[in-house]
Amino acid sequence: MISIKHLRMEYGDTVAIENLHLEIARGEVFGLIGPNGAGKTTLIRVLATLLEPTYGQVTIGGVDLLAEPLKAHPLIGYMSDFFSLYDNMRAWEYLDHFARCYRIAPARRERLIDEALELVSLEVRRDAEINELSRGMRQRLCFAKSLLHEPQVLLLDEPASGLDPAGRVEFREMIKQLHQMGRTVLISSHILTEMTEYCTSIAILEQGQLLASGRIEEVQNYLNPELRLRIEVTEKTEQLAALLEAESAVEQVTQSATQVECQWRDSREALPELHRKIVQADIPIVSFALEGDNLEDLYMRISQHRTS
Amino acid sequence: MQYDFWNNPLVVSAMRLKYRRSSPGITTCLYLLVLLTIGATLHHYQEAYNMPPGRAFLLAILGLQFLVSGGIALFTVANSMNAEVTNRTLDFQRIVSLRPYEILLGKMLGEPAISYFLALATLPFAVICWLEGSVTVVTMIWFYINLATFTLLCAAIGTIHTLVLSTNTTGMRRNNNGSVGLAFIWVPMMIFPTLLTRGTGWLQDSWLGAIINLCTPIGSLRFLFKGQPWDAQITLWGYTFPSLVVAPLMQLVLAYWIVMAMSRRLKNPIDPPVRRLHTYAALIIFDLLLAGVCFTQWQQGMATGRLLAQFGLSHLIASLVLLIGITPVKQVLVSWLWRFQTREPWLRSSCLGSRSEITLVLPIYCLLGAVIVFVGFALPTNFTRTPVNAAVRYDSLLEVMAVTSTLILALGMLHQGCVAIAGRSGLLIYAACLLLINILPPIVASLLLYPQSLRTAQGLLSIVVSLSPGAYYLSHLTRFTLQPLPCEWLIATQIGMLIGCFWMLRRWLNNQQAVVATKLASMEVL
Repeated sequence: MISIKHLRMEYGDTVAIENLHLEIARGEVFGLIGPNGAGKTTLIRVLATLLEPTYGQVTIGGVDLLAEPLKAHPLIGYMSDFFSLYDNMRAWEYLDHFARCYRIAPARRERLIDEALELVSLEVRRDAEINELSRGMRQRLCFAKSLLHEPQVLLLDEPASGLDPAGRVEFREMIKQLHQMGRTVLISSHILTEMTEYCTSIAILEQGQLLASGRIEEVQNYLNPELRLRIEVTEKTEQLAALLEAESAVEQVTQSATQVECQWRDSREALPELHRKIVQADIPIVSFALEGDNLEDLYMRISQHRTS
Repeated sequence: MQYDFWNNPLVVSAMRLKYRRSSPGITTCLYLLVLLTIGATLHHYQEAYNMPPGRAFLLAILGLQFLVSGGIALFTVANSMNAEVTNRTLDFQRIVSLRPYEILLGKMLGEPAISYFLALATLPFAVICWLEGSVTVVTMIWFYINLATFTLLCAAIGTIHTLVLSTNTTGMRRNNNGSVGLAFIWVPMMIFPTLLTRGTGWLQDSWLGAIINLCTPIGSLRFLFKGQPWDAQITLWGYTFPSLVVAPLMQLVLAYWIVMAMSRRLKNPIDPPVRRLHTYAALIIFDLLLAGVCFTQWQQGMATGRLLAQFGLSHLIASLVLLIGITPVKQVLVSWLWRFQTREPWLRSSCLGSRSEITLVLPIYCLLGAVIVFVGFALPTNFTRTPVNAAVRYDSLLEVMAVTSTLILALGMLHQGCVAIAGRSGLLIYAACLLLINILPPIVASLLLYPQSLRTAQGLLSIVVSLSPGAYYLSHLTRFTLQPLPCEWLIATQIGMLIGCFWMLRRWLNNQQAVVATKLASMEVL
């Protein structure tokens, strides 16, 4: 759905994005991770046709953004990190304004506005002026605006940054809903723990360079090939340790009173076989857990926290 | 929806917001009361002025309405654009399905809607004036057409705004909110001294009068004061055109030009605002008008040497102004090196492209000026010469066009060099250089040569002073100098500057090209 080749973006002597290649499939919820100044916002603004890249080819749904930006506009829904609305408009008027801007037929306009307001739980504030809305409500209204014309691609730059905990939960549900509807979502955020919950794929950017990208499990496997295995038993820890040491894929076995830990160098798919061997050895297992790094750990491990 | 103005979302939203709390009806009623008071006052004091009260009232209505409608249109649109840029709401507008010109038309029609309402509200009073016999119905209609196009032009000027939000060193956002205000302060400051010193005579014959009659309703209003609004005219090659008819057309052309330039910026803020092809067309139109005015002034007995200098100076100024609209700045040139240089044919890119250096545009400007002054002015004077009116001498024509062309080439190249190499401060450096080039030679001449006896200094004095382009043209234009300054030294120094600037620009471009090639190789593109 989104194809980026040889993308480079320079601001004077500063290189914001350097030779970026990225392919995002239709229906993905794609997370962009990186420190401030990594090039996330620049990338999203390039995709929204608001910035012209120094070099490279960018297509959305097969439309070349540099050659035919106007043709790409109906495909894109964009929400910036700095969202400013027309303060004196009412909530429905704001959506109506953009519905007209996207040339939505009058017959559908009213229904779409109602649906969008309902989706972001603002139907009760339909007639409120925007300057009377809280920051979270304004943010949700801006999000509703991005969805109004039913874009194929949603570009969300730090969309949950100003939301309260309840708002974040709601937002997470909305993203999941959009994912189920088959929309492609590109989302940048600092809240990595939440991104694992709704992103299907991620890219880690730093200093404008792509450090890693792919489906979350693939990135985890790629960056973290050694899985840590922790087995809790009620007894027979010695026997368990011996059994594990006999396995070729196991290293660094350590044991305590009721627990044995080790490094597992084989794939996840080979684990059920190990589990079967332990059970067949009549060792009473309480828990059999694989401890991989979460997104935050991975990011902290590979990132040098450098900015462009 | 392309031409369905009333359904333009920006017009709809502007109407909703502006008239939610205050009705346009109340504002219009108050305004009509003011007009009524003016009418009553004029009627009461009708002995105090030598004019039928109906005409005086019509003049007051129209004069006030031009100011009110133009002012409202300019300020509301400028404020709206400024708010959109500083609040970054314009980003959302730029990526909707509307075409950029539809966004601008929406702004121009929606934001100053009250100015159109107020203009319509004055119509009943204007009809009363017509019934009193102050003007004919055709004249009144043309005045209202002028009012509409003038308001549109002011609204179009209001849309001129930078679309890139810049921050200063303290991180505070800057905007050009004051630019419109400054324009309002500067324009009267420029016009009022002329009015005070020369009265309104300049509206009839002079160079400035032709421009004002061509672009503004001032001439028509002034002649309405005398009872003959159709006497405000522009004469080209002996044919007269009434300002009442020509001015709306020219205002629409200017508004269209501005909308096209801003549309281009909305589409991509990096591109220079004006297309090169459009500047060629604009320069041809401007030069043809110039040639027509020159020919008329020649028929009235003005000397050909002075008219040629007038043409040369005007063509030079127009060319330099147009160049500001098309010259690519550093960032644009670098993007051309990255993306377009190898893809577009060199000749096409240099003459018609948007981002390449302007080296080939400059000779085209020179050529256009030379051809039009020859075809539009020199040849007609040869065909219609009389014993009293001598035809244009080709050596004079050659001299003026050689100086003008050299200056276009040199100053254009200086401009390109400054904005390419110095980046953002390039325009400021260019302006400073332009000022120095013009004022330094006369200053040097007065400081160094004044103590010497006039006889020994005369030759050297004129050579030093002639190095200033301004002094050269002035010596041909003013009636107070003994003889025009020579051109050889000016041409020689300008050619030296042209070569220097061209060399510097090429060197910078070659360096940038090498840097880009290295980066492309590292990206494994080449």
